[in-house]
Parts: sequence; structure tokens; C-alpha cells
Amino acid sequence: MPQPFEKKTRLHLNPGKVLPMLGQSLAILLLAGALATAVNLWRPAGLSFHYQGDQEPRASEASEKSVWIEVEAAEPLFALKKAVFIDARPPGLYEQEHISGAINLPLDSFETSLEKMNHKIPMETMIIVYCDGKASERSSALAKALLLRGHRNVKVLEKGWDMWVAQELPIEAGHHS
Amino acid sequence: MENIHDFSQHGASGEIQGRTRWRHLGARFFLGFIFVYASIDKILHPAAFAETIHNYQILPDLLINVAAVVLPWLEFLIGSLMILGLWMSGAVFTCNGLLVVFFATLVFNLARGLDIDCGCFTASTDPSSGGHMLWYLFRDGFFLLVGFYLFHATLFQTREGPSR
Repeated sequence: MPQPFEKKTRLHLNPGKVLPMLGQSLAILLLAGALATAVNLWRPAGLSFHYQGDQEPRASEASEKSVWIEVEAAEPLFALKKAVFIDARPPGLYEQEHISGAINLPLDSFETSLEKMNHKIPMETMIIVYCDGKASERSSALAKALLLRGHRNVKVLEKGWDMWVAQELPIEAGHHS
Repeated sequence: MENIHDFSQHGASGEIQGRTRWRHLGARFFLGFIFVYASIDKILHPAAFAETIHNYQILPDLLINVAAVVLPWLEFLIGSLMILGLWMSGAVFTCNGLLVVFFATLVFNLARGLDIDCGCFTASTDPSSGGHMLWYLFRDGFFLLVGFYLFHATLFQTREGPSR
């Protein structure tokens, strides 16, 4: 008795398309590089080859050098309890881990959270805001908002959370009121 | 007897061929317009995009500005080629390469607990311009699926034959 005819479908990379694919990809990369270089050279404010911080002037008050504070300067303030630390990250990240004693003030719910905070923190108290990374706009935006609302002594922790953890300074998990 | 069917051009019937062609066209235009749209703000504001790349804390300083200048133009070119249907195999291959890199970077930073703006569609580092990292993952994962479909539709073929 003959076996029933069975068809088998297999998927194959079309070999005739591999070389054109690679050739075209290389051409696309080279063309993109050439276009990008030409436009960057033509632009008055083209970027330099090497990255430098603060390449674009920012109007934000909180991006001025005097607002930044390094971890080495913030640590004694923390130890002597001379500053209030504010975590600008979303609540989920804050509750995983945060600087010991820090208050969470996410930018999204800034208005409602700030109302509660104002009654606890006098306007002249030093506030240190932190987030992830030195250039994070979240910390800068929060610091600016606090300054605009009358807090006179607000700093942004340079390279914030990453540096604090890297230097194994005190952290805790959960919610802190 | 073997029948070789080029998946990108033929189907078992005219109806299947028509549906496949529309799906292929839809995927091409979808990803093409996404890439062009994503590139515009970054082409206009390379310095801000460089800062976004810096925030990812993956590339060394030497490569940040190079990536900030070249990457948006690469996206623009890939998107344009897919919309026009030119150099499709190369465009789809590089498109998928970029999507895989973007997705892997998001996963890597989520694992590190970094809360940064995606920078996918805008060069702005303003927190209000972005969204949650999980949303970025979900969205980019969807783009990746469409990219994989296009990759198979453009470069693979089905081969049918008797079983042995």
C-alpha cells in the first residue's frame, strides 16, 4: 500500500538576497554617516567630535553650577541631619530603595505632595534633590519648582542615586513619611 | 518534485497573495513612518539627544556625539527607504538591527534601575516628555515584532516538497 503523499513546508533565507542585503546595509550606513557629517559641519551650532557636558545652553535656573552639590559635600549634611533629601524618582523606584530618610516627591504628583510637605519643611531648610544621573532633568525640574515656591536653599545631588549607591552610603527600602 | 515559493512574491492562491501583499505594505509603511517621525526632533536638536544618550550611561564619551549626530539620520534614511520601497532588504535588515539594539538597551537600563527618558521620539530630557520604562518596552517590543515580520516577508522563502 503506497504511503500518502505528505508535503513539508520549510522556511529558508533566500541566498540570492543575502549579499544584496549586506551591500545595501553598508551603503545605508555610509550614506547616513555622510549626510550626518555634512549637515553637522554646515550647521553653525554643530556638535564637536568629543562629548562635553552642557553642550546646549539651558535657561533652567536649576542647571546653574551653584545648584549642584557633590556626594562628598552632601554626605556630612546627611550625617549631621542638616538637609532634607528628596527623591524625585517615581514611587516604584523609591520604594525599592532610596537614601535613608529621603522623602519621595515625584514630579507627576508634585502639586499634591508638595502641599503636604510644606507644612513639615520650613522654607529656609536645605533641601537636596536627587534622581538618576547628573543630567537628569527630573531633579533639575523639581529643584526649580521648589525654588519658585519659596524654598531658598535647594541643591541637586550631582549624579544622584548612582553615586550615593556607588559610595555605599546609607539606603533603605519602603516608604518614609 | 519541489516547488519553490518566494514568500515575498507568491502565495498558494491569488487571495493569499493579496492578503500577504497588504500585510507587507502595511508593515513597511508603519515602520517607515515611525522611523521618519522618530528622527525629526533628534535631527533638529542633536545636543539634547547627545544628553539623552549620555543619560543611558552605556556609550563612552568619545562615541556619544557621533551617535547623536549619525543615528537620527540613519533612522530617517531607513524610514524613507521603507516608505519608498527601495533597497528593502538592506533597509529591513538595518531597521531590525536598530530595533534590537534599542530594545536591548531599554532592558539593560530597566535591569539597572535607571529611570531615564527613552529619547526614542524626542531629543528632550524633560521628564514630562517621556513615559514609564515598561511602556517603552512594550511599545518597542511591538515595533520589533513588526520588524521581524517584515524581515521574514522580505528575505525568506518557503520551500515545499515531499517528506522523506
